[in-house]
Amino acid sequence: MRREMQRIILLPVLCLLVATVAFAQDMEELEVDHALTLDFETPHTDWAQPYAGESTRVLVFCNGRGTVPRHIVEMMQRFDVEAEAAFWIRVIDRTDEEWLGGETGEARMLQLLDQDWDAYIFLQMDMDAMTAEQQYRVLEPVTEGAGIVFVGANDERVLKQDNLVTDFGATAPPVGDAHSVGEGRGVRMDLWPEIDYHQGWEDEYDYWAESFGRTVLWAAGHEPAMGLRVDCGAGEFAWDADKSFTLSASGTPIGANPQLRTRVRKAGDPPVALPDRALPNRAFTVQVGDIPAGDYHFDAWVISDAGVETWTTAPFTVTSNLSVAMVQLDENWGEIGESVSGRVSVEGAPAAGDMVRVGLFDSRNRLLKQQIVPATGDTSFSFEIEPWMPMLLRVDAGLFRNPAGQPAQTIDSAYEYFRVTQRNWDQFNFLMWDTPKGTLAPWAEQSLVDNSVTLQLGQGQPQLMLSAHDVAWVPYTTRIMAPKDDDGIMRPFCWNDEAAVTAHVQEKAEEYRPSRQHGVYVWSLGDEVTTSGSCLSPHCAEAYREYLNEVYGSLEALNASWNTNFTAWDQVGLSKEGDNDEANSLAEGNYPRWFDRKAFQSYNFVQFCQAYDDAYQAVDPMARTGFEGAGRFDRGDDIDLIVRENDFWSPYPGVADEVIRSIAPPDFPRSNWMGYTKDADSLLGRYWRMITRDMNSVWWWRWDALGRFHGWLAPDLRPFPAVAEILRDTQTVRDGLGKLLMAPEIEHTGIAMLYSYPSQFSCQIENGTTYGSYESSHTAFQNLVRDLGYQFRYVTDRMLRLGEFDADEYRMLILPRSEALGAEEAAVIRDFVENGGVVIADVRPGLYDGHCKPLAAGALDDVFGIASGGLDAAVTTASTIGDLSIETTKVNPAITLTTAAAGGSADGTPVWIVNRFGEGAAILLNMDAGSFPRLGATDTPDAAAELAYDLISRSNLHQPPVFVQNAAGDRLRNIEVVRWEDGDNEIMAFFRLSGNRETATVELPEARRVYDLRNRKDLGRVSRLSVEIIPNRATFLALLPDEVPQARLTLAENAVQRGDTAVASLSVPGAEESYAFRIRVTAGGQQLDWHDDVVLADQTPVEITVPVAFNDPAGEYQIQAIELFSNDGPSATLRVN
Amino acid sequence: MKMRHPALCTTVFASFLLAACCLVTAAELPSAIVSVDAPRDRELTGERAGQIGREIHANFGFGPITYAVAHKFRFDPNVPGKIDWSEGYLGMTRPTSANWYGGGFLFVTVNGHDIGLDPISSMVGVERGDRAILDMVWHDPSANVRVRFFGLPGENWLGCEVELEPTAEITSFGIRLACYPSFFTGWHKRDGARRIKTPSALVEQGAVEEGAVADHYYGIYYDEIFDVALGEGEGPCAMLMLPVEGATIKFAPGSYAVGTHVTLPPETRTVRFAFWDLKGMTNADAIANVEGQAASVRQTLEEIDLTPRTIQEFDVAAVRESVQRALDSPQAHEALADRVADIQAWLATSGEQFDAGTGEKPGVEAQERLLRSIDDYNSFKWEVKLMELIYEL
Repeated sequence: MRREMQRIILLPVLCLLVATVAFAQDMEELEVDHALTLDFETPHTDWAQPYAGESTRVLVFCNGRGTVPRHIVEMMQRFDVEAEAAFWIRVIDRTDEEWLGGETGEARMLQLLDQDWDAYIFLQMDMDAMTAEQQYRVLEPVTEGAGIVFVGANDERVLKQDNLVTDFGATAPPVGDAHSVGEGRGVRMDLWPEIDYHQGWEDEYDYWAESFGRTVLWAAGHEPAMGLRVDCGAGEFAWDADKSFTLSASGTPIGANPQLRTRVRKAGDPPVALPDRALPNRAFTVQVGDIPAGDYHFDAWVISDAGVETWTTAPFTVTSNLSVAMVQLDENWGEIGESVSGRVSVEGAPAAGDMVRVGLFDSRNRLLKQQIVPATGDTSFSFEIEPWMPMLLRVDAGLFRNPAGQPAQTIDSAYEYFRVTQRNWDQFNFLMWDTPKGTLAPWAEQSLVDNSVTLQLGQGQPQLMLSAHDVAWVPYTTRIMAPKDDDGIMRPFCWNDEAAVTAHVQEKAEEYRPSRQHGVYVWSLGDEVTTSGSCLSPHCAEAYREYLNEVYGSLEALNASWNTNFTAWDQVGLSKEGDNDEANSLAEGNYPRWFDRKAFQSYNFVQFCQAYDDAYQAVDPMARTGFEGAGRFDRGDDIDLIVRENDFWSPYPGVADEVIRSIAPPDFPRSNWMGYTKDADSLLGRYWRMITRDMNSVWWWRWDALGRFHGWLAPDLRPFPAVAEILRDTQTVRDGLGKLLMAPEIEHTGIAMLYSYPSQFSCQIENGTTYGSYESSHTAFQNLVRDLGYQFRYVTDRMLRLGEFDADEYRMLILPRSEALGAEEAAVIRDFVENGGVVIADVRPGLYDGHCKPLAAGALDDVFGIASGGLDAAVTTASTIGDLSIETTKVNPAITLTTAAAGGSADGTPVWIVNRFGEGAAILLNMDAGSFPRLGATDTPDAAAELAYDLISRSNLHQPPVFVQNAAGDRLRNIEVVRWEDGDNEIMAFFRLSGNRETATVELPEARRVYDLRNRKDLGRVSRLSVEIIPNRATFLALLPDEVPQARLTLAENAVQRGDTAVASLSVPGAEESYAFRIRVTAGGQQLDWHDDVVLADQTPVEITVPVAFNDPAGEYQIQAIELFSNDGPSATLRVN
Repeated sequence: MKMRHPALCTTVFASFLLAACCLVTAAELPSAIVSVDAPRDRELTGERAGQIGREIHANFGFGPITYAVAHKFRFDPNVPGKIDWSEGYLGMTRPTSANWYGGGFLFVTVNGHDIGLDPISSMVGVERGDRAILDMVWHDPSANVRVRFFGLPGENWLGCEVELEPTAEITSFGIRLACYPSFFTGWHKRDGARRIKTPSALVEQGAVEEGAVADHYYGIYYDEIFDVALGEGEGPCAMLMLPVEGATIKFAPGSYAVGTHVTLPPETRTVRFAFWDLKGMTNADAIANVEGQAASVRQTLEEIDLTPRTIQEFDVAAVRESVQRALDSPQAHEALADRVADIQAWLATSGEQFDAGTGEKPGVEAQERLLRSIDDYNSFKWEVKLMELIYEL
């Protein structure tokens, strides 16, 4: 009941905080940060919950990050304790500690000190972090009767040796050193024990939590009115001996009908409850029969109608002279298809019929597989690792006896852990930066997994608890940087010092071999890394020459490009000693020599990454290596090369995302980092942008942030309110949308856009910056295409060179600021137009060659029907194109028309220049693309959109696949429509990152069966529909020719024995398209959370395995396959015997 | 009405009960707060490699709008005492970076010298509770200058007082304000339609209006394109200045940045403003909001005594009493001997000015000095009390 009240209380308090204008936003955030709720409940013993005595109000001072605050919540679960906390913390990006929230946080803490508290707790924190006034305000109420508890801390000024308390009457004493403090009480107790994850860790913690709560109640003066003692005798019993425990109760119960409740418990095993006994008897003897060897507790309570009157607990040990001496695994990890094998040694003299059961248990203690063999000295075992097996198996050997007519009696057992290597590649993933630490880390991990986390990234090796939760690992193996010594040579070694690099990467690979055994999603070379580099070492000089030789093919070609006269390759080097970046060449206008150095630096970085990749593949043949949180669109990174050579890339959000999603294979892991704001809307904007940029995972920094950033989990381990909102809004992603979108690529409507690596450099020279940046041109063209309802896909200059550009696939090629084009690329573009394609450029196309060498005439002048004229600076002036007037345009004044015609003029300079060329056409805007009005803006005249439509239609493209209108029937602005196709099925996203919420009308070219995935609603067969456009939140529709076909779910056998694996077959007869199904299994109305998966199915049946453990419940199991679009699907009934 | 859902009824009842309790509690909470973050440093690159860019943010909480101001500057760790800045040194970073510009919105020049060209002497939150006050002090070559921002509970504007304490003859005194109403138009390659509405004029983009502050004592800065009502922009901003005899104000709404220049008579010592960043508000609502409260805000600026309460209420007698208590307690005296000596020395030299009836308020520099020490002196009495409490255990 009191717990319920605590839940009820939080909501109105938060509402009030929001409503009270006097509170600052920061105070409101602090209340959310500091809230200690019971929302995330963990297994625990209700030691004194509900309590017959008074409830206890405590004020806790502790670090708010990590799992420390959770110890308070764990106490609140077990005892009638209401707690508030003030967090003393070093927040992100700070070097000192302070109250969370700074001065506002301190003000909050002072307000808390104004309240009455039964006890103050300093959890792993010293009181002298406080000012004298604050200390006084804590100590004064303590001297008047409150309590103070130092956990893992002490204050000898307060807890004086002279004031030790040793007489606690009949009640169980507090742990640690108890003192009187004036009229109050104080205790110093040790920190919680460091408990690593293992079977039963939570039971071991439960006893520390008991002692903690008992101590706090004593300090607060709220110890039980009754006494209860248990006598375990010597505390050690043989497993098959009678075990006798004597209990004595004293004092008067507060409530009526007091009962004595007892149990024995071995950590990791279910507790054995003993029969209740009624008071008023005050002395009892409890007998316990045969139980397996191990460490136990005997726990007892007196419980009345008022609640727990008193309780006690005492440890005892059970021994056996017959034991499992050892479980030895041949390997403690393995891939699917390999085996779990080893041997078991039994010590002692087994009786006839004694057996050993070697079992594979999951982290829920479900017995998945077993082999039973006679107990002998040594026994071997072997199990095949099956695809459905979890990532952590406990290989448990139990020695048991099976007396006739009686249940089997386990005598002793021992176990080892085994990791099943899994990489989670076949699912849409959510990655979390870092892992929880400390004794309560497994609970934090549980909450993370409950709240969608499937991958974690961190330094070092993955903890066992990650395997227990089926979380694959991203090892942060290094952070590539390029510091240099005074001689300009990279430290600690040059990226091209092969011996040093080899030694280093092999050492790294060996260091992270345990990660490989766990299961690595991708191998990270770090975040915010240096993505290009070279140095002045001889190794780099040699590598540079080799690179140039590869690029140019001959010294003559190099000399021609650089205007040099080298006669041998060993003469080739930097233009000026020590000028690593060829700034000298840039200054002198020798652009090829400058560009080549820059290109080499990007290439060099990629080659260095490859050295790691090779080493990691040596320990993990399936290794995928890359980097994250780094790399920019126009800062020198060769995006095409990075994607070609590396195996994954998760940059920060930016224009580069569009190139990556266009050119990377569908299974190339990619994402953006997010988590840098605190409100749900802006966070959701980031999340949905990743989905609409075709990413196959979402990466969040980091799980426990407080202060400027927002963790995934709050200090009490519940998801932050904004996170809960994210999870609600994106549930459809985890219900199958994420996985369904992993295979198809975003459609293009016949429009390709060129990413020209050298052009990002040429845009910086010879007045190039007067036209804006390379990136801004791409942004403007991307927006223009999207705002018209079309879609594009990037191609790269390297693809053009390598013949990878499939011209037949496209009708239009956009050349944003494509100033530097090699002869081969120019030829491909020329052919494209000659054969009927349309190219559009903004300014200065093809004025440089592929090494940024200015050309005498533009490489595509004939295609555009112009004479380029020179490299003049932009002239900023007004332009008129038909009905459209643009106030400010940056135009190239140098061009003259040859065969083209101008559709507009900018103070005499031709703009909107159209030229027929071969079967196609070329259009030169002759203004930077950013000059053209943004079609998404409300104030852009309709004439701009009409002109842009006209532009696109020149390529004979069909109408946009969909028309989206606002309430007035006009073109809806500021909306992205993103489409994926899978056969006849189409997925469509409507997304706007900012702006207002409004209802849009969507007109389809033809009637389709439409499913609204945001509202999980079947809209029927329509050609016109309404879609609510919600800023930052994407709405997905599925458009089908007809309703979702009936899926079929059949069981190979309708009944299985426990210990068997049921096999179901799921298909969508007649469907060539994939459908996503969430597979869930229920038994007795309860969902079995270990059977929760998303599978894709079409007409070809897919196999679904439902392993039933030996200790799962018998009965009827319902297997449901819930199809994503229809939110419905077939089910099958499985009889488990 | 039947209570159909017992759990819901319980929740509703608990909500009302808690609402009542919390309203009482809320009255006890500091209702106006200011906190100063620790400096955030970043290493600069390119031409400024080796330099540090530093930002110090102060966050206010007193009403429906959360304001934050930031002091921003660059320095070379190897060249002490020399700083410069990029776009400004005093920005308003919240609720939006647009409007009163987060990169620099307030510039004070004395004798033609911008105070931000010298390192700031102090940036301290000096009061919270009934009001939130932030003091920023510069020791300009010609004057000690304090820019004091303040917030009053429930108000939607951030107050500002610029106080001059001359150390040389003052020949000119000016204040410049910079804002980007509602939206960074030029940055996004968009055209706006800037407007400034004053009590006596509507100044349109491209025009310049100059006159007495008394005639233009407030200005509402908005953009007709970037109007929340149209689904664009952040909302308007506004300024109100307490008129100063002889002061003139010039409004120059450009297509991107919007400048406001105040020229003050050299003898001016105090200038007071109210600033609004009306994020999320439509132009029409913002105009109505500011015009509706202009008279009362002006009156507040005229009447308010901004001397920090800690100075107003500093109890030098209590400090003396604490010293005496420490001297009387052998244990406390032993534990706090150095502190006692320091404070005795201060009392001997400076304590008298705080005895009752001495009257005059400390100037800019004196207030700054006192505010630096006052917590220390106030804290002393708690140190003595704490020692006494501990020794009695």
